[in-house]
Amino acid sequence: MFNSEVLSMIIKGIGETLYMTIFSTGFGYLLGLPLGIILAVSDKDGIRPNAFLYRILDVLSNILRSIPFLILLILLIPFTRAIVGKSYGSTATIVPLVIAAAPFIGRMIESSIKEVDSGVVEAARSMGASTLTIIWKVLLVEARTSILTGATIAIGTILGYSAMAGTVGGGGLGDIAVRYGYYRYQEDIMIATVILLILLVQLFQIVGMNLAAKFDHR
Amino acid sequence: MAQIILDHISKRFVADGRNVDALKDISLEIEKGEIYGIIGMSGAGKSTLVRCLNYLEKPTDGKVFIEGNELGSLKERQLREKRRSIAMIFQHFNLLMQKTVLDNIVFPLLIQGEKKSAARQRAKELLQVVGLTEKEKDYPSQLSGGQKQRVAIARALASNPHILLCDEATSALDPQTTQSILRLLRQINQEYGITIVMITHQMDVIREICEKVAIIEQGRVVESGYVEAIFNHPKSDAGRRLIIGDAAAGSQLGAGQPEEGQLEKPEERNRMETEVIFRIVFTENSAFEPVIANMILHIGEPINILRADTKNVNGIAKGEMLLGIPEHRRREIENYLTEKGLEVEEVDRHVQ
Repeated sequence: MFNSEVLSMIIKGIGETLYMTIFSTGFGYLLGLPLGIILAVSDKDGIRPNAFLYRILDVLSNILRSIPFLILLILLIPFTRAIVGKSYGSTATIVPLVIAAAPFIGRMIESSIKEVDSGVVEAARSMGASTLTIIWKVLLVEARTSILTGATIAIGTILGYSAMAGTVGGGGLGDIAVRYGYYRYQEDIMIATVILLILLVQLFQIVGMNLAAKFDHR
Repeated sequence: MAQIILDHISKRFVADGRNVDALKDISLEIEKGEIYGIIGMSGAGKSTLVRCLNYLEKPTDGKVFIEGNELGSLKERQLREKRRSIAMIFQHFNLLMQKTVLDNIVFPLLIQGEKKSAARQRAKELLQVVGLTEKEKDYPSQLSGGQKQRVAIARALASNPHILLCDEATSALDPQTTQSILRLLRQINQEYGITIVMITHQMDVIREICEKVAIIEQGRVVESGYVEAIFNHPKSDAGRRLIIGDAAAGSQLGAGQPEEGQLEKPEERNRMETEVIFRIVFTENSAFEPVIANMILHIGEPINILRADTKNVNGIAKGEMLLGIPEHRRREIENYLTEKGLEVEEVDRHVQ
């Protein structure tokens, strides 16, 4: 059953899954980190309250988070095609993954930043720190552990989404699990891919938590 | 011109659609080099007041002048610049938990754009001043409360401030640590000539370190002046409550409301009725002799010491006592104590 053909397919699947997960997480943070910072800073208890800006980003990220991922995947096909040139395959899947992950990441960043002791922020203000300095040197540094913990959760969730994208030709381990396990009743291949997915999530979890603990001096 | 001038400051907060007047028409002047105390019960508005001094809170009305600059007239950038000469320390220290002791002290210098190496050099000197040289690589979580406050003080001194605002800086510390922090603050005041504004609810802190004091209650300054004078003769209700009241309230005889678990026995109540409470204050004029013991021998009546808080300052007893005195001997006792150079005052036992 596990001949060299299947093995090389699974190895390719692992590669695709990692590719989608890592790039989606990376781009997701590229959008989500500023989003989360702006949300935290512009909230009414933030260091630069701005009700209008907060409201817009708040509603926007809630809308995006409310759309089920599979629907988003389909809705975004024209957009994906415009960016990547095609609407299937691993690279194309990264587009909806990023759009789905960014608001989720933004919310986690927002909550991590809001955990920072307001007294420390006040101390920085009393020293004459500017808003940007407070964001970079106080909020992000003090929230570092919480942000890393959040990233660990985010990467696990994105990996799960990437597997879901397999159903619509996204590639990766999820794709294999669906095609062989679900459509062809080859349960052994399905179980093998599921175990691999579990191991990947576990791996990211361990690495992430260790990093978070290493950087925590509280 | 005084270094710090508060000119008719008011601060109004809007909370749940209701207006809360945290500060009402406060005017104060603080001279350079003074240690000025601001005391009040919690909720009196003292934390808001101290935050008006560096414009962390902008007053709704009135003006704040620091060294001649009206803070309200400064642009955001100028205000940030100005804040560098007005350092602040806090009840809960507010150190960066993810940075080492040294990096915490370096932080304000980096904000000001100093080079890292110069900043580290300066930070090391400051660690020496506060006596924590060997802790530079530790993180705040590894330090005790007193050590954290020392780091916070070093951090405050880093930018060479002219003014140091202390917001309940010793309230989270035990009495011994409080003493050592107060000693450090006094040393800083004397060596660098830094003006210190102490916010506290502890009368002991005011007496220990401050020259002048303002008592605030419900957002108003109800009494201000030299600590010595106010401590000896508090005039305002709030002042009397802070200085005498808690003593009278805390003692079994003076209790308006007896403390929990402290049941009054009937015979004690009978005795209460025949006793008056005297507060006596030891000042420079009082001789260092066992006054109370001698008085008891002289009068031949037992008296009740409800509270005693005295200190030996250069051979002179300073401080206060609350005495339960038998009613029928009050005149004699009053005369005796006055003769010994003590300030005597009858205290209402329901001061609360």
